[in-house]
Amino acid sequence: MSEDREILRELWNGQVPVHFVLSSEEITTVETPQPYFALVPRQTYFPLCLEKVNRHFLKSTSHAANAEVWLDWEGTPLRLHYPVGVLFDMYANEGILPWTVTVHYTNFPESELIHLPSRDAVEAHFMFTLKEADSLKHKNTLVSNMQKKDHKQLWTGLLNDRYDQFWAINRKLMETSTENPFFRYIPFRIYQPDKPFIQTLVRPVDEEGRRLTLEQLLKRTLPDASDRTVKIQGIRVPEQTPIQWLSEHFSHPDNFLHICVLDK
Amino acid sequence: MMLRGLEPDSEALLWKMVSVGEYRDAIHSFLKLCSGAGEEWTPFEDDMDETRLMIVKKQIIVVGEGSAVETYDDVNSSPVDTNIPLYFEYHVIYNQPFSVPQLLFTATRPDESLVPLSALHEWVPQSLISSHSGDQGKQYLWETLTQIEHPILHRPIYALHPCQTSSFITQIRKFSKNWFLSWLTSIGPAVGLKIPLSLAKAH
Repeated sequence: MSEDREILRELWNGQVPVHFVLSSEEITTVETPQPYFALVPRQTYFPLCLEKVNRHFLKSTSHAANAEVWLDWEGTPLRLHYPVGVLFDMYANEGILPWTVTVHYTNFPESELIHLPSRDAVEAHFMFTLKEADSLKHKNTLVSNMQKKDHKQLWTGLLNDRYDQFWAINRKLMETSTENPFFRYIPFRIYQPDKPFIQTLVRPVDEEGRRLTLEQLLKRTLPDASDRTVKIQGIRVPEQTPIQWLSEHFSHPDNFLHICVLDK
Repeated sequence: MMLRGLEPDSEALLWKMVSVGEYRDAIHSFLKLCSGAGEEWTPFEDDMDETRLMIVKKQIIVVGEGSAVETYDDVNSSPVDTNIPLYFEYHVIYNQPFSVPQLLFTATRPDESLVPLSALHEWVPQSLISSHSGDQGKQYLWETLTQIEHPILHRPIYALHPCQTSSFITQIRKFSKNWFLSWLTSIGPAVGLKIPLSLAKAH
């Protein structure tokens, strides 16, 4: 995978422009607060980067102190345990940037959203997803045999936006050998608006040993979808791309390939 | 070691995981045991996907009964009436990525609000975290019990993490005739699940 290193860095550096607006229900001052604009890394999770947003809105609402923040887009609560880039690809209308999301501090929609009230909670979620991906990719799981400090390095690499720190460890999770150039299964999830995500067991090669492409993966998992736009990491990937290559290069830090399928 | 081309079932055998077939067999014999013992677990099938067989049990725990609850009022900001019933719903599902069964649950108060994870973390018995102290113990809790998106229903639910389950089941398979029951009785009580002795006796 060495020759394609640059792609990893490019994807890591991806950011999305977000326009944060405080929900009118939250405003407890006479004046309406100014919105807050930020470039948010695609690879991170919203709960890790809302500190400044919270500080900005703190003076306009009496609800923000110690409350758990949540976001919605046009009334749809955003699942904050998905990476920022996935939510953006799903919901941001390409034509209209920045992407406007509404900030809430009260009425947390408990039946829809997972609580991620602290960094510990996000870390647990991230590490769990990473272990799940590892368990799909390798027969002898690698993450569980790693040292605690390696786990920490993966996490802090993501948390502090340190590409080199993260990839120094993640490289081991993405490695294949010449004698066995494929993962056992490809960790992927397919997202469609207003539907639960799809996750099934799919091997990177077909019965005849040929590399499975994104097109074939989609045909197996979504046989009825025809007129669609497929985005991974915000990019319309050629559907002839082998999924093994995509898994190694286009996965999020949680080691999952998050595939957004949208109506054309 | 090269094991390419093996079917999932034989792979599961080699790697001491639980195949879908073994899981389904275990669930069906468990349900048979339950109906004989008056235990109410309800199965939910998905005709399109055999991996999505799930069993559900509802249970009410009254605060003040048993061990788990003393710490509960520490974290609840409102004064706790010790007779508050908590509504638990337990789900056993097949976790496909880890090839093991997994125990999930919700815990709600009479006003339908969720019992927070911080309160549930207090419940996890010391025996589970005894080898870990301080920050390490705290981290271990996060690795053991968190809220996740339900893999079948896609709504928030509490989950005991399956990472260690396969090695655990490998161990109990060595001496237990009913690994599923042994697994459930080992981990269930940690999160309040009551499994009557009559089940083990019936077995």
